[in-house]
Amino acid sequence: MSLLDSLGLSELRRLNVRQQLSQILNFALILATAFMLWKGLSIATDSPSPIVVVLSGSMEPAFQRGDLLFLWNRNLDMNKEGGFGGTQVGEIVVYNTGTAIPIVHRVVRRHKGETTPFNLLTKGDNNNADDIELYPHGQWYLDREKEVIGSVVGYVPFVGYVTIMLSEHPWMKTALLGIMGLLVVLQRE
Amino acid sequence: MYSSPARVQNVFGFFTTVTFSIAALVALSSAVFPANPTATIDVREFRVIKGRAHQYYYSKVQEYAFINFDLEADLGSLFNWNTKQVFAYISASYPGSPGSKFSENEAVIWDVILPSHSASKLYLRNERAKYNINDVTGKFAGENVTLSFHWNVQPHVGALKWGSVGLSEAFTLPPVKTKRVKGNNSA
Repeated sequence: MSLLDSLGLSELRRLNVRQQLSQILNFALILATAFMLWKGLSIATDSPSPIVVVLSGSMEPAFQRGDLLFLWNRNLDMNKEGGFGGTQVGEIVVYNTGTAIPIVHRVVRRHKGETTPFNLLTKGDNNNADDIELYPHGQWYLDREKEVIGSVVGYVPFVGYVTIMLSEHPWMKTALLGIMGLLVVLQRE
Repeated sequence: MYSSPARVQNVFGFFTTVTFSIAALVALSSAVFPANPTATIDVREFRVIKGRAHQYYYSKVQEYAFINFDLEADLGSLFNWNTKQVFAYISASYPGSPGSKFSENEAVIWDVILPSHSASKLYLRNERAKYNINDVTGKFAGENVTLSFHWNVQPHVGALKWGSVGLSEAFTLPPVKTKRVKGNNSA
């Protein structure tokens, strides 16, 4: 047990094996619950990323950076009797065409037929021109099925800003980890 | 239990609980306010012109529809304490030409962001469309076009709402009038 002493974790020896296992189990339970909630929401909405954070100001004043958006992706409605006709113009979609970050913009045109592709053209409310220049070279429309990950249905302001701060200022990540570690140490006493 | 970190944690926990409860109540309260906006659209002028859009790195000659319209709308009932803005827009919808695989087509030709109740009345006469639309196939083939007015309420918190009122009479896009391009003789 000299290994624990050399790592400065001699306090762990005060807990018995049963308590240690129970603590590990608790921790695993928290992780599993969070993961299940996220994946459950993902299945319910049929979107790989059912909640997104707004990263740019191209939809201002509707959405600012850091706002949280809830997505719904069960509105493709291809070849479906009694569907609602699928994504409409004026809806706000989140799409990913291989760029580094997903883009949140409003649908300004739709061209739909019996079969895919279901074509959309998007534009940011705060931009003058439509998004053709954001699409891969030579592509004039978005493919609703393959490139869109959902339509915005719900909105909570500002809550996602912490993720922007963490990714733009790496020292904050270090500080956050440090504070959490400190709290763990303090709570043991 | 009474250590400073525990107190900070309790205060923060209470703060978030209260904030999210109030936000949830505000979001739910939107359902109480009835939304009954009114709008009428009349089409004034429409023509199809062959041209080239210049804002892109690559552009091809296509047919563009130019539409002028009258609009009278009152969106006052959409503004309540949970309305951040209203996005109002007019779309042109048309069935595809017989050979096209796209049978449902719709394009926004005009839009406006209404930030407050004082901007909720719209009165436009012979207004030019903000966006001159082109079809996915590159040309229009005498389609029957209908204009309709839509609104989208952006809340401060909660669910976004969409709706549609006011439909214009259907009109048929005329055959193309070729625009005279510099150095080009096609008339």
